[in-house]
Amino acid sequence: MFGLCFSFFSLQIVLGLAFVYPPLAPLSRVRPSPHANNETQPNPNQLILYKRYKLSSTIDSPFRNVDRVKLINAIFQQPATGDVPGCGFELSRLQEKGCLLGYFSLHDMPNKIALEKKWFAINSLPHQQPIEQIKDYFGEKIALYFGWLGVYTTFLGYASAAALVAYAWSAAEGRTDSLVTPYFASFMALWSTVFLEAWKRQEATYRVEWGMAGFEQLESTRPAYWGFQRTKEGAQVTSHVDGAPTVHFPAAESVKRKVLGNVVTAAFIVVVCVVVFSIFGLKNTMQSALSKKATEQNTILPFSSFDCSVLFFCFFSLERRFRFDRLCVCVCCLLRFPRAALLFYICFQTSRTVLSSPSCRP
Amino acid sequence: VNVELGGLIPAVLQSVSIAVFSATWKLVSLQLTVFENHRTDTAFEDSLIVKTFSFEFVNKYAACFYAAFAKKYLVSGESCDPSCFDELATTLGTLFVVELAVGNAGEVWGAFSAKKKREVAESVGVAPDRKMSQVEKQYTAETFDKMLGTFRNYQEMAFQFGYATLFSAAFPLAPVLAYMNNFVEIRVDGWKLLQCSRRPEPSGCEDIGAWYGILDLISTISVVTNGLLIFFVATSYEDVSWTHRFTLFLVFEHVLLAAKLSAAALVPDQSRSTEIQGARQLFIASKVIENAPDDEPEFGAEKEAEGGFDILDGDDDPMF
Repeated sequence: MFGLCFSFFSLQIVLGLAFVYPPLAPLSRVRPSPHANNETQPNPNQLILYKRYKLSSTIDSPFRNVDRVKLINAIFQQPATGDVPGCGFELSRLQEKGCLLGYFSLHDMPNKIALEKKWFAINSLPHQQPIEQIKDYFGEKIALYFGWLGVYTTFLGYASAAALVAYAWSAAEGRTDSLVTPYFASFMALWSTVFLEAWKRQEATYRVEWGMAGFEQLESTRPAYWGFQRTKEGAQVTSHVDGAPTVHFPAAESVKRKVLGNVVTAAFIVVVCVVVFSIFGLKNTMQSALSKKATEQNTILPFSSFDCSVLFFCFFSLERRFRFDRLCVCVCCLLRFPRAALLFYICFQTSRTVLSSPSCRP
Repeated sequence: VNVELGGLIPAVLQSVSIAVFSATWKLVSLQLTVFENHRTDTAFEDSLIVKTFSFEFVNKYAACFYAAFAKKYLVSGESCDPSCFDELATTLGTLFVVELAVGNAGEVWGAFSAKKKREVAESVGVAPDRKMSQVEKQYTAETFDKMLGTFRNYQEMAFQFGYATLFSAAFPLAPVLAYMNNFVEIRVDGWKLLQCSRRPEPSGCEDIGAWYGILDLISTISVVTNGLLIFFVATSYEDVSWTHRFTLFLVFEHVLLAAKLSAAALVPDQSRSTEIQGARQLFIASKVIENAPDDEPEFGAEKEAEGGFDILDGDDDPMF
């Protein structure tokens, strides 16, 4: 009897802990299945408490793999003084200074392989990604990206069905702006709204299931953030809220920098516009010149698959190392003289080889 | 395939200039945001998102906007061949396909070659028969940046969303291509994380942040651009007078925007079960952490429900 009471009592404590520290066992009475382990306990509402995570084939742990990584990181980085002292290593600063080559947690092979098998299966559809497993391996931020990508792609699937109908219709009509175009455009506008609304709801569900509500309020200062610790008179800067020592970055300076940032952005946008428009200018001149030529000779310059492959080869070789002769070949190819280009290339290459061989050097 | 040469060189130039500007802006925007000295990661990321989006929006979509709306009026004679609508479709198709192909190939090749490069650099002067340990192998892999890693992924997808919606009237195949791409993209991104990078430092997050606003903005702009495309660029309404077309455009755009706004207002932000679940979590936390006292029992709370309702513990979740 005493034992029963005791076990019930301890169950209550664990229950409380689980709710308080959601990353340990995300509370999901709505959808308990991913966390449930049906063997040991009577009350279906408490199933989640018995979730054990496999660390290896023999060892189970109440911590997810990713929690262990978080805990170890926290132990390393927690200041060495205080109520709960840690190691006091500022890892990112140590790496910046060159004291550390790097720090990272190792991949956990059994879990990684299991994840890969499920995730990359060719027949798994975008909404069937093992999101829970991804979250337990990489953490919530990366899992949320894949969750979003899954929802977005699933919705793209619905849009694709409509798109194929619209495309088939306009193909049958033989023109791009067919009768269905306005309807399809309206459909896409509504589709994007429905997608965004659906995602908002899914996001809220993930937030609650993963225990991430209120995470942003806990956000700490960036390590790279800097400011002044002392006033001009040499006094310690203190927080206006609680009087604790703090760093101060002048608001005027911050505004100045933001304005400068925006000015640079605007300048870059202007540059892009100029370049884009000059490319269009070039396009128009070339097109009109070529069409004149074409009407004179009564032919249109064909662009064969041979030219395409030569062009591909050219750009591929250019990409490896920029060289003047290769550029020339490319230009020649572009100008539709493949034979001349080949000849030129051979001559140039041979002369270079001969000239650069040791016997030729003075 | 007969492609006119005059069209090809500028198209290639265009793609190259987009890629070069993107790469440049990637570095510059990051430096600018660091220079602005933001206190929290969220502020930093939001500032970077605004910079990236405003620049890339012009960089990536300028060609499409030009072909659709400007060319007709800027170029004399028979400017678009056969119509500006078709030219937009061609431009969009080319840009989109090049983006997808180059993007995916670059991602895979970039991640793989960077890893190999470091592996070679690290094993200079090592006895040839010595094999790298598992730890050393993972050390040579790329670091998946805690913030910028997912940032770049979201960026790629947000602009793809733009290609799929902004000019959907002209290029209906965009969602199909996007779907096929993303089917692969999920695997490419996952493969990069699992095979080509060190295990990322885990971090939490509440939502997708400013990207939601960006997607919402794109979807709103798309209503206007599609309206303009249908009534001013397409050939179907060429015979109709300008006033008439403008009225039609206004009706189209107002109806769709109203539908969007009402959908956003009517659909609750979370499902009923999520709401209950969130409230339950808050309640438990208040009891266990903050030690909140129990409420006084409400007067008359013991009164039985009339009509013999049964309230189940896990009531079925209604649609909304």
